[in-house]
Amino acid sequence: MSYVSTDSTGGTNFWVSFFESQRLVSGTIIILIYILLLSIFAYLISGYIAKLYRGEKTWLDPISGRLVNFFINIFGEDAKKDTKMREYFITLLIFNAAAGIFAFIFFYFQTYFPFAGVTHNYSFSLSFNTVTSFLTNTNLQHYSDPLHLSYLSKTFVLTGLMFLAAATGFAVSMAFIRGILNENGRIGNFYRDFLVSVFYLILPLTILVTIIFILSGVPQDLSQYVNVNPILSGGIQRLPLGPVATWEAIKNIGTNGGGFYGSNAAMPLENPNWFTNLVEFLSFTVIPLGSILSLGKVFNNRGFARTLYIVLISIFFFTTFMTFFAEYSGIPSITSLGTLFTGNMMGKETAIGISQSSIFSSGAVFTSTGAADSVLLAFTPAGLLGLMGNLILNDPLGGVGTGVLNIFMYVIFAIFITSLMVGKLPELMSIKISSKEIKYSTLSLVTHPLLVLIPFGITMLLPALVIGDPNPRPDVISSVLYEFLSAASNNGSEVGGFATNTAFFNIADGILMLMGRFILMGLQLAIAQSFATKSPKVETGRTIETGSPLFALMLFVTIIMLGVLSFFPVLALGPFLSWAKDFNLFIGGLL
Amino acid sequence: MKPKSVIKLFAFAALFMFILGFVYPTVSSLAAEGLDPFQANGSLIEDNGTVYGSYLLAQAFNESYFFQPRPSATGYNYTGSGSGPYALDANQTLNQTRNLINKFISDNPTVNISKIPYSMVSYSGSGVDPDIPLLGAQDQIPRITGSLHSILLVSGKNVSNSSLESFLNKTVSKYVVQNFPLFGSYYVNTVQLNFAILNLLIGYGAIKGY
Amino acid sequence: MKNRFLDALLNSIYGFLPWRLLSSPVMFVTEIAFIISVFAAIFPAQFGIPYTPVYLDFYVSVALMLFLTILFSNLSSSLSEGKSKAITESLKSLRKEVTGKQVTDNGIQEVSYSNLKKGDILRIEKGDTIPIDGEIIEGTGFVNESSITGESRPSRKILGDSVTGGTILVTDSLLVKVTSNPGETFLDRMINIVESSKRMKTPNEIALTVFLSGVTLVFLVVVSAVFAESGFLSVTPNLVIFIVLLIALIPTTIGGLLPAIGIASINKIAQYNIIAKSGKSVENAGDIDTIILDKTGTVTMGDRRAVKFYPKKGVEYIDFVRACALASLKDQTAEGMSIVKLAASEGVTSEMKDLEGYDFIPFSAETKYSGIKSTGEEIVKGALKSIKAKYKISDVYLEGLCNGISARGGTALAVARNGEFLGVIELNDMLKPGIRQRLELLKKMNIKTIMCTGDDDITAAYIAKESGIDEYVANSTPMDKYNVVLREKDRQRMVAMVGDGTNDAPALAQADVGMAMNSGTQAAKEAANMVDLDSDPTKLMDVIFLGKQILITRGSLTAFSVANDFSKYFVIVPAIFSVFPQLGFLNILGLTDPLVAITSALIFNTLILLMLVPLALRGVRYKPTSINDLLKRNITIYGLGGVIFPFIVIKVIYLILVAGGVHW
Repeated sequence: MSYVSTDSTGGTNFWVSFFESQRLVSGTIIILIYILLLSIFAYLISGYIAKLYRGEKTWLDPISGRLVNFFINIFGEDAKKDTKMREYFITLLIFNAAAGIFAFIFFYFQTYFPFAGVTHNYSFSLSFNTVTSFLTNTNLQHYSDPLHLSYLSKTFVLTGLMFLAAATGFAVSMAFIRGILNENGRIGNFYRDFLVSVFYLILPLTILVTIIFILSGVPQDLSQYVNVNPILSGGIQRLPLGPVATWEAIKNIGTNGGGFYGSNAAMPLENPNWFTNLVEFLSFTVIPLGSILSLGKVFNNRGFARTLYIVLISIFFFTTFMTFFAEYSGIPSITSLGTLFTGNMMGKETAIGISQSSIFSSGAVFTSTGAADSVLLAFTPAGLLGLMGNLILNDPLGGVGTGVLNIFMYVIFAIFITSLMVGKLPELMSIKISSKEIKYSTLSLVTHPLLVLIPFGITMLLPALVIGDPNPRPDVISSVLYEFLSAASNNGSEVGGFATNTAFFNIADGILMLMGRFILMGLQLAIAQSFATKSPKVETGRTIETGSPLFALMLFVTIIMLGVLSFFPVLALGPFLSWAKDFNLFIGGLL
Repeated sequence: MKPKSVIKLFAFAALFMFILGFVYPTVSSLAAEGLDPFQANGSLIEDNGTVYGSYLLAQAFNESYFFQPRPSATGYNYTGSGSGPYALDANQTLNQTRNLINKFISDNPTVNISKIPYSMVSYSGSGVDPDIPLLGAQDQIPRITGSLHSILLVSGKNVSNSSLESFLNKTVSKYVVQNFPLFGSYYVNTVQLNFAILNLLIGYGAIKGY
Repeated sequence: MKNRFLDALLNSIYGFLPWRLLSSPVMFVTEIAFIISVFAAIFPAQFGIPYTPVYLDFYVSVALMLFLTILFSNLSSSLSEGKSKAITESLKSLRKEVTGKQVTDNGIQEVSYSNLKKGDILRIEKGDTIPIDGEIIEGTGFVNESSITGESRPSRKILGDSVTGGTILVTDSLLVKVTSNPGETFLDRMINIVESSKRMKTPNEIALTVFLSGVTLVFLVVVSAVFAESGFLSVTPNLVIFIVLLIALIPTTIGGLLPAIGIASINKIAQYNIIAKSGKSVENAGDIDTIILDKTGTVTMGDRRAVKFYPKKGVEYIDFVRACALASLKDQTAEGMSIVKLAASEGVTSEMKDLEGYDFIPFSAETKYSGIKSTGEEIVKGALKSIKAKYKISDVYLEGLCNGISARGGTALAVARNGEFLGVIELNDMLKPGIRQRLELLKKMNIKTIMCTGDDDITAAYIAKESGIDEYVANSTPMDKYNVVLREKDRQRMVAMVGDGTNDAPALAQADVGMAMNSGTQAAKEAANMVDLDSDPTKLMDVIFLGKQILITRGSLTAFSVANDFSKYFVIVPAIFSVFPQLGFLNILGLTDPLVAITSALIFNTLILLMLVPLALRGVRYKPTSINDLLKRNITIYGLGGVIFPFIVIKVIYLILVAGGVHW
């Protein structure tokens, strides 16, 4: 089957033709390399993040420290005082509301502001949807076409919100960890945490990634678009250009995921080759995983970080390989056509390929990024199910900061159940967990399925909402479910198929995104506040050992069970039904 | 919360949207111009101020002596996106694929269906994927050879099929890359290939310019 | 017994009133589902569901199963409640309202129970029932407390001891100061606690209820969403089948048994003859990190006995023994009597008449010695230190002897006559039988033990080593105990302790679990959060086991209940959507008849609740072992078992139904 010409590789080496022909093996190796590199980079950055969490000195102090202090001094007492959860959260909400209001004004009335270019106005519901989705780190792209965004909308509004959303998420995780570490009843200052997030973590990494992107061929200029005369065809096309590299950098570093172009990272200008694909993948996974790994150093409990790593990476392995195998196997109706089938390339880019598209998409839903370097609608049903698995678990690795918060909700709950099973009262990091914290964590865990399934049920009752979707009904169910899963978990990836830019979906998604983000943050900060007054027990060796394989198993089972229990019957009529006819091929591909 | 504090927060939000959202990208763009103008502008193919495309974006290469990129659901539109409205298991997708296969075979009658990579008969995600699998390029060489031969004949140049074929093979070999070091599959960029062909034709005087 | 069961059954039917179920959201939802299913079975046409005889049979059996589910849940808590009612009843029977003989300025007056008040002085004669709680201010006597403790041997009460209302004085007469008003006595409070136990939820129970409510809400939404979804796929959904799906999913098992587990815990502790003031303290007991134990009475038997006489060089053995016997003759403590007994076995018998002309020097906490005194002679015995201090004398040989005795866990008692040492008596205190094994268990559970003792360092070290105590505080005073509690609390550890004296009260109040002895003072009982009626300090360990057992029962049943859902999904979901044969791959049990499959799952759901009632009332087996082993065991049994067990049982029920000719 080898179709490598001998002169292109300098001789037909056995291994070269082996890897060329055995795409399943090569793809698996590529995916493993991705995960390995992610683990290495996350480990490297985890020490630095741990310092930020513990408020220790870092090598960026001379620059970042000065910038932080400069802005703190500008805003005076408000930015200095150590606050309790209530004030912290209100500050955060007002800050986000302010950003949302500014963004909405500049976005909705973009034609009236400078640098309007060739833009036109967006509808009220689309403006609401876009602003809330960028504000909540979701980044749905109902707007789709970059030509219609003014320069200010692209920069001040959307790039600005991408920074703000990421920094807000990280700030909350700082406050949460401070709550566990502190015993004085205070969780910190939002201004300060925001500034530290920006100047110590997000901005430096964004600058680094911007430079890498520019050097790899991602455009970065001030033009709105350029007129292109395609070769020998006469017609003129507008090619949208602009600050793509900076956009891409913060899109990934901030786990935002909204693309500059409608096709997101499938667009060669956003993601020209395997190298940028890898860099993008690493840049949207490294902070979330690095933050999780940093917990080992923050709490002086390496076992805990190891447990979280093993549990999360297991989930990631499972969903990624499910997607990869599914995409590699294809579906019978297509594979039986007789072409040379080396994987479902429909909707995927040649320069990226099956394995890299699979791990990229999987990583984008494993974190709350939601970027896509391929078209999800064209995924096989099983491949889509693999991706959906992550959304069902509310993006297990989460976004910048929020990943730490989400995993703690699961951890607290798993500790509760595990403790009961061995006749202990629950403890986290040797701090007693009271019924209040368990209540809040339980509430935050049930919020996700409720947020998803209520609008989903309503949509199912009103088929007119998705009437334009030409696909089989089970596929439509998958798309609708995916849409709400993505919004509620602040992910932002989409399957589409039906028209998403409608008042119903714009508004419903917008509300879901706001609730999915800020209700959870509120509950999580309340837990932090409750921990902030407690001091840890001096080790007696009697706590549930969070570093033990047994606890890892319990955590894994807890996460999976909560997800499976809430979504299994709903999945049966959607993705399962679509998958059913390809099931045997998938299993056959596995064996 | 005091009104003054609320106003401060609004100012804080506006300030940072401005710094991070507006100042940072704008300054980066200005810096990038100095850094690497070719790539910073999107790898554009420019000649005398006219932009003919980008090496990163496929075009509808309508002539039969060009390498055909993958099919596009958006008609190679730069602002469109996606691979069409159909899910993979929809009947429409099946029909669509059948049509694309038939078209490919009628364009390249020498090719056996089992040698057509699925990529060549499926829409790309961006609609402007410039790259095709190596086999997809090799499949097209016989057709392009014939096509080039006849267009050169028209302009009075009789170039042998075998030398054209070896030119095409060499060009393909020159541009072939892997989509991951060591383990990736091999592909070529049609824009690069087609510019090589264009230059050949211009060299022979068969056409004047882009 | 039969009567009680009937009562419980009646109560369970009364429990069907919806507002009685409001506190348990799971059961409330089940009840609503039951009502809907009854109406659906009667008016199927109005619900738009098929009503062929086959379907009608199905609806009726669904309604029946739901009825049984609620009944079994109610029954489990009624049975529990019945038990606690029996306990309160027996307590109430003790609360006889007898009159008291009040000592007033005008002599003794008969005062009715309800007119007694705190501070009154009562005279109790031999044979009287003590009307109300009080403290002895004069006299000594034996009191029969069998009504409370079940112990028929009367116990001796001396000055300062507390007496409990309802007990009977069998010897002598006493003056007692009333310490509580009618209706506020110890007994009254115990009755209140047991009666109200069903209403108070522990923090863990509350958290679990929140979780169960959350899950129930999620499943309600899930089932509604699937209902809508099947409509979207143009499948006419059958309401009753979706009700079954809902009931199978919501955690009826744990939701139905949770109240029973809580009440059962209070009952069980009452069976140990311990009154817990709150369910929370029992739960806390399950998670104790540190136990503070008294040496005497807990680790050791508490009655020290003389085992050997060591005269000083130059003192005649017989002379020394006689002096010891004389000095101890009037000493009524166990050790004093044992000295006389040992002397007798050495051939030295002494009688009271030998003591004519001698005065008794009683033991006091300040002097720490006792003895006899006449005009020409003074014999005292006591700790070496105190004798040394009294006479300002010292003896190297005796000190060596004493250290030797201490080092093997004994207590040395120095004896001196007229300011000169005669020798040393070795007293020995025996470890309680079985204490080592119990402390071993605590060690296995990783609980730290701290022993407080008034003995010197060497003795304490020896006892600690012999019994397996982790840490000891020698020469301790009650204040030390309090400090140890504070220190451990400061390390955020959960502390348990036993106490009986008034000076233990502060420590008891600080401890997470403070158990007072019923024989102890009123102040100690007030401060503690549980009282042991048998006054057996080692029972603290039973309470710890019990506390663990309750937590484990809850946790394991929750895990089991939730794990069941996983299996039920694979039965019900393919059955509901049997119109889509493609989903057959989910039907891993191969149940071909969808309605029978759904019924089987529901029958399983109902039966499992019934089967687990005894487990909920009894508690799961708890064997002290390391956390990891315990977790492994419970994950396997209740987690993995919870997934596999339903598969097997549902398949069996299905086969039985099919074999029994049920074909829907």
